[in-house]
This record gives sequence, C-alpha cells and structure tokens, in this order.
Amino acid sequence: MSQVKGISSGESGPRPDGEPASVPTPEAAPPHLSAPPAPSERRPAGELESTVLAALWAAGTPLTPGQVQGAIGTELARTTVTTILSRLYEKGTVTRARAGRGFAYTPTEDAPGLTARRMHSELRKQEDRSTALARFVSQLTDEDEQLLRELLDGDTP
Amino acid sequence: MIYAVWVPLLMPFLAVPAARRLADALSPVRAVRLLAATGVGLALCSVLALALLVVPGATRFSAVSAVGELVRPLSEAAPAATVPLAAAALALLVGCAAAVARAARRHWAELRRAGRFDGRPGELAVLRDSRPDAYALPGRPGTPGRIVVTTGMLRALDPAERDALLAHERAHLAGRHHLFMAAAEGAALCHPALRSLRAPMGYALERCADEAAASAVGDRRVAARAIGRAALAARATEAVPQPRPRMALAAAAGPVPRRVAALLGRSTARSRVGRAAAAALLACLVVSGAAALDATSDLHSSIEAAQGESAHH
Repeated sequence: MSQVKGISSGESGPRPDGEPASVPTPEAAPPHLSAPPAPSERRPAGELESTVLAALWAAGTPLTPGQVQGAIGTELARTTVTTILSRLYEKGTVTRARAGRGFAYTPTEDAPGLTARRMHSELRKQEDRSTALARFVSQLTDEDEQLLRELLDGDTP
Repeated sequence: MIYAVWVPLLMPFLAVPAARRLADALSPVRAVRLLAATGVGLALCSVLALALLVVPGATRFSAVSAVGELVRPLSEAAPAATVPLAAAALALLVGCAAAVARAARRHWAELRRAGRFDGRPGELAVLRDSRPDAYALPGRPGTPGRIVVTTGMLRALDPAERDALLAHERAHLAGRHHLFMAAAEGAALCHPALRSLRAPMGYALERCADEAAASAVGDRRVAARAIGRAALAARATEAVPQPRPRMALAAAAGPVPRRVAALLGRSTARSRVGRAAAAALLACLVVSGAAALDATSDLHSSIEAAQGESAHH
C-alpha cells in the first residue's frame, strides 16, 4: 500500500499522535530495560507462568529463581518468581535439580507440547495453511526485509 | 422481471475496494468490525438475491405452484428465460451452501483437534524447534486455546519482546479472532468479489493484536521490535526463499513492515480518505440491502398477485 512509502527514512520527524509522549534516551540501556515496568504483580497467574516458562525455554540451561528474575522482561519479586516456579513444578511443566541452597529449573516437553509438536508438523506440511491459525509473523519478501531493517535501524539510534 | 435483484450481486465489486482502503485508515478494532459487517452483509444479500432468482422459475413447475397456492406462474417472462436462470441460480446457491458447510466443518475439526491441548492447564505450549514460529491455536467455544511457540522464536527475542509476543497471541485468543477470519472466509465462498476482503481482515486482526501487545508491555517500540525481529529471524532460517503468500499483494509492501511502521507511528495518516471510503462503503451496503429488500417485497407482491389476491382489492 502507498502508506509505506513514507516510512523508510531513518530519522524520525515530529511524532504523530499515536506515539506515547516519552522521548527515547539514545545512550541509555536498551528500551526494554528503561521502560516503565508493567503492573506485573496484578497480571493473572497464568500469564506470569507463561512469561517464566518462555524465559526457561529461551535460556536452554537450568535457571535458579534469581536467574529467572533477571531473564524476564517484567519486574517480579524473587518470592513471586519462586512461587511461579513451584507451581510449574507441581504441574510437571518444569523439573528441578539441587543447585547450591535452592533449585535450578528446566522446562520439560510435556504432553500438550508433544501434541502440539504433532500438530505443528502436520501444519508445516499443509500448503494452504489453516484458517484457524493466526501466525505471529507472515513471510517476508526481499523488499519487505529491506524495509523492515530500515524501520528497525531507524528506531534504535 | 425484477431488476433490483441484480444489485446485491453486483454491489460487492464496488464495496470491496472501498473496504480494502478502509482497513488501512480506520483503527484496527473498527476496521475488523466493518470488514466483518461488510463481508457478512454483502454475502447474505447476494445469497438472498440468488434465492429470489430461483423462485420465479421454480413456480413454473406445478408442484411448486401447488405448495405456494399459486393460480398462475409468477413471472410473465417466457419460461425459456426464467427456468434456466432459476436453474443456474439454484446451482450457485447449492454450491455456496456446500462450500460454506465444508469450510465450517473443517474449521470445527481444527478447533476440536486443537482442543486436545486443553487437557491440562497452561496457556503456553513450547516446541523444541530451531525454526522461529509462533501462533495462537484457538480452542473450542468455552476453552481458552493455547499459544504455540518454538524455542527458535523464544531465543530470537529478548525478554520484553517475548512478553509482547505472548500478549499478541493472547489477544488473538481472547478476542476469538479466528471467528472473524472464518466469517471472512465464509463470505468469500458466497461471492467471488468478497475474496479480497480476507487479506485486509487478516491484517486488521494482526493490528488489533499488535495494539493489545503494545499496551500490555507498555511500549510500542518493544512490540514493533518483537514483530520485526521475529520476522527477520524466521526469514534467516528459511532454506529456500518462500513464495509470497497468496493473500498478499505483489506490488505493495508486505504486512509485517506495515505493522511495524504502524506501531512506530511512521505510517501516514489517511483518515479523511478513510472516512470517504467508509461513507462510500456504507452507501453501497445500504443500497445493496435495500435492493434485496425491495426485490423481496416485489416478489412477495407478485406471489400475492399470482395467488389471485390482487383481484380482491
């Protein structure tokens, strides 16, 4: 669409209406660290469990509650992290092993994960992908990739 | 012959281009609602119009006339014209109904298959797979559905971006976006011009989820980066360049850069064009609906006439 024509410039002009008022600080830490923490303690327990589980899978090695605390985007109290990890352990979603005075946690490929794997490989085979699925990102063309890199480079000076 | 009956069949060719522009100019939530209303409304109108084309021809047959208690056929036109027309319309109707039923059954089967995940709690299913991929797998009505993410995707993103990804998929599930997509697919089966509403619908739904993700993580740039980095990571692992998805336009930038630009506030506002498009679209819908209603009432009065009632007035 023609709306994309104006977006490739790296330097941003005046911010349009939709943009929050906060001005990015160029020399500071990456934006996700300087961003104000979301009201995470009020988020439903299931969402926090997903956040912790995603961090464990992304790490690829066993993590202690302290390490998990550093590996998630939202600020959570250590006790909250420990509670979430024990809940995940009770469900069998993670295993744990002694590490020093506490435990280090590893995600397990649980039964839903295995079912998901089977379905996932079925989906990969399908030419015309299911209408019930909304993928996070669709495929890029060469021009898309170029445009996207310019957009992302322009965003982090 | 009732000429108004053709209007709902031709209207989608005018309304659909307007709807496509609209999806760009309106807020995502409004765009979704309008695209859904447009698609379903025009599909229903064209199905009704087909049904109205069937009736006059059908009343040529004595059995149908007997059921309708008609004393003479509805149409004054020669049976040579009305009967083949009715037969063609009937064939199209049956074809539509079969296609919609097949699509609905397939959609339901997919939901049921996805429902097997709901045996135990937890919204997130992680797959050990280095190819970055993520999607929302809707459940049956009443079940929350699941978010499926590969380890490759989780490793491509930083912690805040992972939260944005989860919030995005959560928004798809909470908003039951698959139903809107299914409605667009169903409408497309009823009228060929409605096929090109599917891509704007898909895009508007992604934008809805993007906005939800941006407000959940409290930073639009984090959400934009999550999408951008996920797409670049997915592209990097592709062995062969993939053909463009059939829904996308060849000459335009793909949906991912447009979504990122929208989150970063780099897309040019086109609200005036949007309002004009919306007005045109609504006018088309109203005309289409009115024409269908008019044709129905015409048919109704001619049925009454054929039943011999007008003689009493």
